[in-house]
Amino acid sequence: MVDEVLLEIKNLVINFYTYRGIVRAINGVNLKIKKGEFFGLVGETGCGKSVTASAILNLVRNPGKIEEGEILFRGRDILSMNENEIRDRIRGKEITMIMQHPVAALNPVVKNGDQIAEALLTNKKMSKVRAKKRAIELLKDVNIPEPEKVASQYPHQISGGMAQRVMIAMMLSAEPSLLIADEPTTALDVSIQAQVLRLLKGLIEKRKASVLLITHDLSVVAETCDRVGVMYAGDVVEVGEVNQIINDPKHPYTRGLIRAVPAGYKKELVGIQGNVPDLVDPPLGCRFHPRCDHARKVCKEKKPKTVEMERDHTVTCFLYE
Amino acid sequence: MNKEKRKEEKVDELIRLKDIKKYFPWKGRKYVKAIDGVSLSINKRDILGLAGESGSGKTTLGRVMLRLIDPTSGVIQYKGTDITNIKMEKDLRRKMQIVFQDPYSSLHPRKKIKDIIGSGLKTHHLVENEGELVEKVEEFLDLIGMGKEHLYRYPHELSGGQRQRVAIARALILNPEFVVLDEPTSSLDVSVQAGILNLLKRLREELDLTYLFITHDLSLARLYTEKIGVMYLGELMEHGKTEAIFKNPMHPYTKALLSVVPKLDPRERTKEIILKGEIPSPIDPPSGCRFHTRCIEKVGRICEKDPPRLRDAGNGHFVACHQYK
Repeated sequence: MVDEVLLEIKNLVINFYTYRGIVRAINGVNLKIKKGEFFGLVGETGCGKSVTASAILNLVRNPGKIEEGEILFRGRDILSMNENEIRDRIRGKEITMIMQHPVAALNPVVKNGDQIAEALLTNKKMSKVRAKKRAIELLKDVNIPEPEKVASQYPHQISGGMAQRVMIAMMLSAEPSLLIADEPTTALDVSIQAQVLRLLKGLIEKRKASVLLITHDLSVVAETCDRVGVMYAGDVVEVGEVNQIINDPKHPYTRGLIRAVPAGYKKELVGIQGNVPDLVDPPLGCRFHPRCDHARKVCKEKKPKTVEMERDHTVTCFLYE
Repeated sequence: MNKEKRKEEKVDELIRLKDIKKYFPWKGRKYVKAIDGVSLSINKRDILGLAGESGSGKTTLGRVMLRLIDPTSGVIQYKGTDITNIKMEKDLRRKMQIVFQDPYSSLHPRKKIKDIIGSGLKTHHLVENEGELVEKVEEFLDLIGMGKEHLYRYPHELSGGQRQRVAIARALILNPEFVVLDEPTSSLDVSVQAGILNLLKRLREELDLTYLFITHDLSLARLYTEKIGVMYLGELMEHGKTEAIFKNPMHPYTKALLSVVPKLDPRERTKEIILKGEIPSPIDPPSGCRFHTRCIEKVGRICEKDPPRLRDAGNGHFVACHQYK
């Protein structure tokens, strides 16, 4: 694989201005997504993984504000483009996104086939007849049985797994080079999850696009991704190839997470003590220090630097500085 | 001697379901067949896992066991007594408790933790006065690993994990015998989940409890149950000892389900059996074996015609499939 960087997030800082105070949601995130890779961004509720994803499409809205940082897509900063340019070139074209609740993401009063056709009409400037035909082809591509029937149905008439496939078909119609999938299978049963993930992987490999998979499930990452970034409380704490991270995690949080995930070889699970901090008043220094077994004085005072452990494996922790 | 042994087994049994059916009325004189003939039993001090995908009827079955929902037909026995149609006495209610899935909606938002945990004590006249109530609640807060400072707090001041601990304390403070855990950690983060499950496991030992652990997560069921039942579309497909089911799944549905559970450790991955299509509608379920429309191990017409019965395949491992005679 050529290590060509497709998307680079540099020092991203996002705050939310709420009545409770300023929520320091993203605390200087750096990430690189390479061409053609399946990148997993994993973390627990409130760690900022979804906000990071919406920042890529410049979709962070009030009360959220992107304070600092760059999001370089093919070398150009998305955050400094104007709204028209993003709409014409990036959003729904070069970069597309599928969401956790597919039924909610689809327009309830437009038939499935017409929704896909609409995307084709605006993006590809196809004729109506061509677009309708193409929509059915796309539904066939995502393994929908009886694509004609599904095309003529409304979103509420199909199951969640089916709706997620309709979303994928719609996103693929734009032939994106980056697909962001925000917890695409969290609302689905395991047997349907397996179908959807398999499908996504196959389609992406065929088209040589990249995927940013956002999930809370480390086992899903282990099964599908090439590389993974682990987020905690607005920080990316560790990035590396999936095998490195699963077999030889470096950051205490990653280690804790792996100990807490069920696996056949385990006799019991070990949780991480304490709770996720309130990001209105995040811990000083390393944000994980109140829950960390290795916390020292310096962890409470300074933010750790990101260190490269081996090729493509970085960790942000004082243990390795 | 044989008779004696059987008698002993009877004593050990806490709850038994016989051919339970629950049909919910649907439009046009149709019915949603949520549970369609399930028989099983749970022994004292056991943890029985009930696994299956959404719509398999596992939650409904849990509620039927507690008679929170009355079955359409079938018999529920509690310690050998038929409780299917009796008036639920307060004392029996107290013995059978439940912990719900979502601790964000199962706790009264305007009540203090003390009152949430303690209200059952008042209902069942287990305490004489407020002082005793507070004392008892404090004892249980300690048991679930939370400090006294939470007594006068409200649910919104607690994290998800803490809320679920409160829900557990509320169920256990009444000194129950049987607790239904309905997906107790599925709305929590993994780092918190382990703590809750380990707590439940410890409390079972300390308080001599029997659990029905309803979950869609088979890898959790493997770690935290002794026996497991796999449901599909309102029927029990397979049940037996947890380790036996994981080592040697017999039903094609169980095999498929186990093969697609995402696994952290690559060495555990087997060839994935991707099931075709989706779960059929419980309003008009397939004839014969309900799984036949998606099964890759069909043996013939018999699968479409005759519903298979649960058979003992040895060592208390039961499976409902025509492959096994």
